[in-house]
Amino acid sequence: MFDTVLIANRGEIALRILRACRSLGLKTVAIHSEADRDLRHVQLADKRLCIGPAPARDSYLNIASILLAAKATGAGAIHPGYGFLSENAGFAEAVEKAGLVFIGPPADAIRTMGDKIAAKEAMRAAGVPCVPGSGGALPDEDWRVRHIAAETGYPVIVKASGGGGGRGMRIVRREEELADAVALTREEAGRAFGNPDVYIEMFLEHPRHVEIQILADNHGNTVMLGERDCSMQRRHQKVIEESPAPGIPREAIERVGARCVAACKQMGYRGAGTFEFLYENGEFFFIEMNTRVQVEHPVTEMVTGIDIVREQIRIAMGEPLSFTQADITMRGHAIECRINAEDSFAFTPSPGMVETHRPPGGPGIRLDTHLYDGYEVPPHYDSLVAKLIAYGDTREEALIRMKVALAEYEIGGLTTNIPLQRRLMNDPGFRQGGFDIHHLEALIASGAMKPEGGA
Amino acid sequence: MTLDEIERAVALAKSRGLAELECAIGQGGRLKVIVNRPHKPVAPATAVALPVKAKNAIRTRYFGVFADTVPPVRSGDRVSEHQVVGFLELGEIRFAIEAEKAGRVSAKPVKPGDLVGYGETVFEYE
Repeated sequence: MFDTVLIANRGEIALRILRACRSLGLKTVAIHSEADRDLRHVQLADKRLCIGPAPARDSYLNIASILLAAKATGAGAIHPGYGFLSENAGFAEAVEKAGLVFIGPPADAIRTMGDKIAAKEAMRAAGVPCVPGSGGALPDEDWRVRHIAAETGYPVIVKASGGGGGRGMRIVRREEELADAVALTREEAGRAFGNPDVYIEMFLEHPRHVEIQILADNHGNTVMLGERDCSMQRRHQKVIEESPAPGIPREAIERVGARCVAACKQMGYRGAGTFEFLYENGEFFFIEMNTRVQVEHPVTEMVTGIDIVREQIRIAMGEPLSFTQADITMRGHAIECRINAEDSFAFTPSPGMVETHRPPGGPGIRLDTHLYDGYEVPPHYDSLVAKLIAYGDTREEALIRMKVALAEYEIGGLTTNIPLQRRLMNDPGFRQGGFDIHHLEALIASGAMKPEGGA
Repeated sequence: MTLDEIERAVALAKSRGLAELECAIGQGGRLKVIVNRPHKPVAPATAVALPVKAKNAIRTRYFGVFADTVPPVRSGDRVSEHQVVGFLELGEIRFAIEAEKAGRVSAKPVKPGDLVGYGETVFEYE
């Protein structure tokens, strides 16, 4: 079994993985790009190696370099984090072929879940509720497409099978618009994803984003760690996440969670995974499965007391889960605010030097960040620089603690979205909870999020 | 070209203190970003990210375990342009490290067997 883990990622999640490795007595290798020599986890790792220039395709996305780096440093396992190669089935396969352990699910599961149509077929077969629609790729004949759309019921959404994250989709409200929308989406999908297959789904007008966290080991144990509500989004990017989801009955969560567990067992899933759902009028509709650790995993850790990243590594070591479903109880409420190096109101990325980093603290506050005084945020990567998590016995208590922490949090020299997060804590919709995924965009469109409103 | 990519280009221009940035995109397309005012004055040095070669140094273009030539190049030796001055070994692959121009070696911060990263200085010369 391995004793050294190569961390194939950067930023806060790389540091998070390093901490989990250390808690298990494992050694770590930090691979990094030329722009990332000063990352906190690079300083802390047992071994560090610069594997290429700043652009991700030459470093964090370069499979051959990462595998060679693992060989050169004596790493026995690779943790991909999130983003980059974490959901690349070819990478997972290459890691295993090189005789190393991929800390994640089997390559086949990644491949199936990466294809939206195949994923939905697998979910339907396992009894996981899906959005009504064409089920598979649309046929070529216009009249058949019209028939499918009419059966689904307008408005419908045309989506690319290879798409995701809000790319390659188009809403159609009337039959007259259908043929054009399908043709355009097909054309775009062929160009952008190399797969021209598109499908149709019922378009939900006011859904919430609710997701279920799963952990599965190699010994047939699969557990559900409750849900997260990630409805505060802008352009399909999550801004605030929380657990539990306000106002959804526990029985409904347990029911859908049990279906997710069954689906994992059916496909021989292993590791951490997240089933994303849209939730509208008391019903869940599967959208996609993420076969990796999520950015927002800490809110689940806070309410369940389970270290998800540590469990991921233990599972990869072949160990059984140390708890059963019956041992898992959700206690209290946790909220996470994503802190990005971007303008609060224009949303433009804003990399630069952190002159001073003054983190908040106090009961129930957790901060996952790689920032420190004098660290320079490079412009080449995602703008997420910190995740501020507040825990309380109740949602109200977590919210108050978050407000206090946000008021205290100072990142001198860097433009961040902390002012936006402060404003959102006072937004009546957020305070009430249970808003839909369009809430933040509607707030922005209404002008309520303009800078002159005062933070 | 997506909005995200444009925002990224703007951020890159700002962080480097550039007023104008032009790059090739997709098939034959070009993107030109003009930033009115840089965010704040940025030091002219592009030390962090760009693999700009330091003037009198031989830096690696890959990573691997450093190996000497036979006979080894030492401090004080003269090297000629394109002379192989060492190797980087990675499993069965061996990359030659070449001097970009002629000069006299003033320092050699690596030893045979050292694991050397991308962009590291293996020889300094004058």
